[in-house]
Amino acid sequence: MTPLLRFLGGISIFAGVFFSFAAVVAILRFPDVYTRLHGGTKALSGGAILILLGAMPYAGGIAGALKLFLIAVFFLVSNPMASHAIARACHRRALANRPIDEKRRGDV
Amino acid sequence: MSEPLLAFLYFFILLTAVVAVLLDDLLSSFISLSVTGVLMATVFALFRAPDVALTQAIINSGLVTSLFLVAYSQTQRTPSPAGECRECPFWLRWPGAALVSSLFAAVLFRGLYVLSGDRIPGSTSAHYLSQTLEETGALNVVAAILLDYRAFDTLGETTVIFTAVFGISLLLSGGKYVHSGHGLSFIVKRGMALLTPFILLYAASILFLGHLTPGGGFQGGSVFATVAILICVVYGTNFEAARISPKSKETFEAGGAMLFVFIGLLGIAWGGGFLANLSGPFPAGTPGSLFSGGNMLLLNLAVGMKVGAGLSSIFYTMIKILELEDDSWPS
Amino acid sequence: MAVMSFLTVSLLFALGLFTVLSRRNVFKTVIGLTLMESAVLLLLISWAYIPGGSAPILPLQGKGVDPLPHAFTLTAIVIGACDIALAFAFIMKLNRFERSVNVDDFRRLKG
Repeated sequence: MTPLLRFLGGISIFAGVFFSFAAVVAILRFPDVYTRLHGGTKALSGGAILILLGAMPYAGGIAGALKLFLIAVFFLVSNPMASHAIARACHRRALANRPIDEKRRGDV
Repeated sequence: MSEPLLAFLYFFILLTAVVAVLLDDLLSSFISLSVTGVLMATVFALFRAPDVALTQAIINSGLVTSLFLVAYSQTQRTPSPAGECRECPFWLRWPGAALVSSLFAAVLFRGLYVLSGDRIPGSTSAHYLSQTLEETGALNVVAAILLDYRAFDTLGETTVIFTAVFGISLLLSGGKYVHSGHGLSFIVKRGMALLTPFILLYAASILFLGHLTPGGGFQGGSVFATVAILICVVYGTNFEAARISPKSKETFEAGGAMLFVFIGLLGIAWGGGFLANLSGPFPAGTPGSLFSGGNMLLLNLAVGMKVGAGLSSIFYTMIKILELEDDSWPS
Repeated sequence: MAVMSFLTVSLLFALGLFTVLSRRNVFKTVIGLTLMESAVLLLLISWAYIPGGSAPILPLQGKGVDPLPHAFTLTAIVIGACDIALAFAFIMKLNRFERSVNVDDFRRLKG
């Protein structure tokens, strides 16, 4: 039972790493603020939760697995809330349809 | 612990540090610095230091970044034309600095290389590891060192926190209170209302179980300050000041320091010396239960009150003169 | 492993020193200070590690690592955060006078 669970956990961690990598690619390559936010947070939520659930068979006993599950629930509640706050702040400042200036020299 | 994993983490620590140094955009460089902090917390956890990893992750990656964001939003930065020293000759700019730093790194590494033999802990540390249970009744050796063997240093540390709060309040006083925000949207407010009791419970468990598990007054107090910061950001500064007034924060901070000193004076009154633990009037209790370790529970509470109230009043002092641009959006 | 840790500590400290010396933005000075403090913390914790040791929570599983530098590191982290907060307050106050965060603009006491 436990080797099977560990194998499934390993697959879940690999899938989570792939989703997190997809989130990074989304943030780097999408053209607009909203698409970047959408791709980033969707993929990042899924990736992080898959990693946390996949680490559950490797934790020490049932107590550690339950703690990881609670962390995953907390992450599921709070990450979409944070990206909603960012998107609403962008909307309030009317950042829609403005292309992101890649060459802007930041303040030194 | 595997060496390739450690090498991987060290490489990324150095990479994010280089990114934080060389980037022009301030926001990105501080985000990179907080990533460095999280990676260092991971390295600390790999080096079997759970207390230190918890403190590093909470304070250096969370609290310092939020303080930077407040300072960043409060300053007006005009981009300077050159970005480097305008009056210095060429060799005093980054080539000179790079030369000095690399010389320093070489000398430091040569000096540290001598220490890389077999590590034998000193007799003090061996004494702490073997005698903590009998002499203090606590299970967390680091907490026993901080609150029993070297509790006087912890009193000095709370004095440093007090000095920082004092200095910041003095520097940023006299400003007009311009605006308070309405906070974020309804979704975030309800979500925060759902999460806040659990975060407070987590903070209390770190604080009160500090003598049994990794944690203690500093970490628990910082998480309490984080809750105050979250309420400030999500609900608006007026709401937070109405719920937890600055006067009550000052009272909590002073109360924490006074509780610490009062416990120390109780030790003197009992004849055991300042901040005496088991040779004072405090019972040892059964090891592993909540009421064990003598006065460490009360000292943790005092330190937590001090740190939590101090850090949240630092944040409130820095943010209360924040001007908001468009305040008329209904929440 | 200890050599790798010491190498990282030296490079991190040198990076922080380079930032403080050569960058003209006050925020970059704070970044440099943070990096130097982080280098010292890494040195303390990596020096306290004994191979095969366990975390210093009783009851120990095997040998325990050295707990005394952990206590020093905890104090150092909290004090570092306090002095960084004070540095930010200084920056905010200076910015109110000069409206700039460039060190070359703070010249009122010069000569």
